[in-house]
Amino acid sequence: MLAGSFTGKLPSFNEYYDETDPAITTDFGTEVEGLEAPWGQVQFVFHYDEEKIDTPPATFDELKQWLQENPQQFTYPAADEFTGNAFLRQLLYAKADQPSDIYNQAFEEKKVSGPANDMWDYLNDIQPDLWRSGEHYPNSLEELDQLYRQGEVAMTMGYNEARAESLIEDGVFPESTKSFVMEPGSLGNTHFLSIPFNSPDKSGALVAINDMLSPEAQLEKQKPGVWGESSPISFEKLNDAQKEQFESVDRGSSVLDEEKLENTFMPEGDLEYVDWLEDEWINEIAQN
Amino acid sequence: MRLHRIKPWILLFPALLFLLLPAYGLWSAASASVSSTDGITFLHYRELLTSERFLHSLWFSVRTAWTASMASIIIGILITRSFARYLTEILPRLAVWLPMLFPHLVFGYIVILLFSETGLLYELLSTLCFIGGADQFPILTRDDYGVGIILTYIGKEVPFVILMLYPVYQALPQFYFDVVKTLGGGRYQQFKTVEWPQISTVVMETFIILFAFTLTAYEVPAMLGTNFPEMVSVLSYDWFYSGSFEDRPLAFSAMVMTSFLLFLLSLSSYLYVNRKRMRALRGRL
Repeated sequence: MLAGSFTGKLPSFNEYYDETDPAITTDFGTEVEGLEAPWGQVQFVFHYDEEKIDTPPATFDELKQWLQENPQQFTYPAADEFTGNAFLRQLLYAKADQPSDIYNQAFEEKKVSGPANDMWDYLNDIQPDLWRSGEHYPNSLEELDQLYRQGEVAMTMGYNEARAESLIEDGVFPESTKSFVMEPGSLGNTHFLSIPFNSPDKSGALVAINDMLSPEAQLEKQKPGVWGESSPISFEKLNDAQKEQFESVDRGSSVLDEEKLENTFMPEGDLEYVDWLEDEWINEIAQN
Repeated sequence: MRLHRIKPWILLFPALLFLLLPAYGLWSAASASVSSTDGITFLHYRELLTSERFLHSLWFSVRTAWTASMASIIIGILITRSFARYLTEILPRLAVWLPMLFPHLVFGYIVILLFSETGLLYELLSTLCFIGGADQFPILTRDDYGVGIILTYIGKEVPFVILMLYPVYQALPQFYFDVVKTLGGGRYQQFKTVEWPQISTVVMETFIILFAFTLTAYEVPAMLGTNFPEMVSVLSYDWFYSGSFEDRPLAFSAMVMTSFLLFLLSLSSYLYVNRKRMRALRGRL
């Protein structure tokens, strides 16, 4: 359905994007092979209330420890919910030897059984310390956000690194809300531009995409008033003036800085993990 | 007269036309639930009936819907028979029917605001020092027993029960009660001999409407239910919208089975009511 491999022909792409970065070379576990050009990026982050937590946990083990000291203060949405499922995928990455063991391979139940068992053990271990002792998990992210807003839990999460900003602005989240990511990194998702096979003007599309990928366009897109979305551009390939411009974009105090986000980025794996985790979670966690 | 013979069908025609849509839906759901790559199969039904998740869900749904409908009916009868006289006036009538103005979703949210662990009721009780911490407050929403779902439905359906029963009560002649009183009957006798025979068919109809609705409605259990067990409607929705197409026939089979259950319930109560009616016609009430 797509016109063919084209990203190699784009000056912007060749100059400013890291062609070896798995965030760009794969799209939900499928090799891109130059058929799609990266246009934007969102990343999974956790949110916490600075006034309640001095230093947020840096690993899942620290989270577990923190939970033992602060029982009932944390929970995650159910696995059939988008964000809850992403939380599980991150935990699965953390339980593998290398996150790339998961995202570089097509889904095979046997191959992930090791990390998966560690994951279920971990989740069962923390269950008694979760909000409402794990008897109930929020059905939606909104439900979790509400608990956070009412102060019942001290953390929430979301698959968009900048989403707390508008929630703080609307008065939903406390102003002391900050975000953090944990080891081994934060799950991210790149969305792409492409050209369909029946496009009447393929060269025109190339010019447009080249322009949209340029640092100027990406910079504009990152401004909160315009879109406020993160850029898949390789920060290291920018010159000093451009770096400064990107850094000077004030995305708000609840958003982590660009470099931190880029360094912790982990791409999505095979789409089949999503359904598999959903079903298994019901069996392993919810029914117990 | 030929017109006389076809007139009922002409009158029924718009209703039948309207029924085309749900009938088509039911038909395509039923056919999707038995279809597979190699022709007709009942595998999905077998999978459902051996799935612990589904059986738990079905039992939970029936229990919750039954409790909610039963409680609404009982409370509705009590309110109607106690206040039927006042309901002729506009203000009390508005007060009783007020909850009907809100959609179920809004009413569900009201229940969360009132009864959740940090809701208004908790605030009230803790300010009045009846309870100490939030952990002493019972979990009433998103709980394992469907309490929140039942509370929402009671709030929403009691006015509906009153709406159905009120005309019957208004038509009851006062002297019926006087007869019972002169013969020395108490309140229970009044209810048993005067009210129940009159309202029983309406009560049964109302119960079926409520039961069918609460068993299969989605939004309230999605908001106020927990992850496990979940109502059949929520489970079917999950199956229908899950990423893999394999689950989709399961969603259809689950809903077809629920429809079948409701069909049996309606049929049996229809036959029962009809028998009673025939007996009443022959003068043997």
